[in-house]
Amino acid sequence: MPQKAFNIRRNPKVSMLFSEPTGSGIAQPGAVLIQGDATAEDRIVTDLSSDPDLAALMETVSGRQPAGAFWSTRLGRRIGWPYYIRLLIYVTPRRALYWPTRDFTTTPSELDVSEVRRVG
Amino acid sequence: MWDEAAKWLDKFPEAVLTAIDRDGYPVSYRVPTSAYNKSSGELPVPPGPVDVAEGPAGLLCHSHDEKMWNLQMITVVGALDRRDGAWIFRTESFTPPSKMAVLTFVRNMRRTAQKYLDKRGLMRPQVNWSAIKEIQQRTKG
Repeated sequence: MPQKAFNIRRNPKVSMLFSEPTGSGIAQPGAVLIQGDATAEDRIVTDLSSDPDLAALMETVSGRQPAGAFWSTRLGRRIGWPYYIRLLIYVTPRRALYWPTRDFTTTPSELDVSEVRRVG
Repeated sequence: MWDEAAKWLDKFPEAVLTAIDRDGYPVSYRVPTSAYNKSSGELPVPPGPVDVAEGPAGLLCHSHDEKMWNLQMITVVGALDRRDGAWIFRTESFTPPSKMAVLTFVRNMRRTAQKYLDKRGLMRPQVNWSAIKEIQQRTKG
């Protein structure tokens, strides 16, 4: 859905909180908050293999949530046709905070943003 | 006054609180929901991980199973106040989610995508399904 793109074009300041470990396979999960500046492209992407980062993300999502394959079945394509039509959003990290135990009452440590250019 | 918000928040032990920091960037962290006051709509929250500013804030709770059919998502819109050295989330509005959230999700996805294309005079683009199938096959191992 394009609402995220609209929001970013109006105000590029964003944050992303990675705090839900379900499906990650991580036994002792922490949490990470990324704050940054986002851009939302005009280009509409319909080939998820056309961008290496996007293809890698799709692989991760497909592996962790195989039931999502429904959206590429005949019925899924019919009722959820926009699901694989995407606008790419890029976030340049500005600050990254890390909670090693998901205890948000503790003070997180600050990560070097150059270390979070790629997450996978 | 905020009984409905309290009822829904009670289903989730935690919510993601999003507020704004001093530089205008959103800052999100998880907060316990158990102390939500259904009369005042207020929830005391821990201090933010960065220098959070008073002002617009929201609570988000979201869950679904692996097939997405048991999708539950609520948003409580409000503000973050600083009072006597403590931080309080104060509810300003709450709309209960529809009973069939996944249908609402699909309907909104179709509607907004079609509107986006129409506004730009674009035909519905063709998805590369074979690339998707290939990725899915690869992840099956």
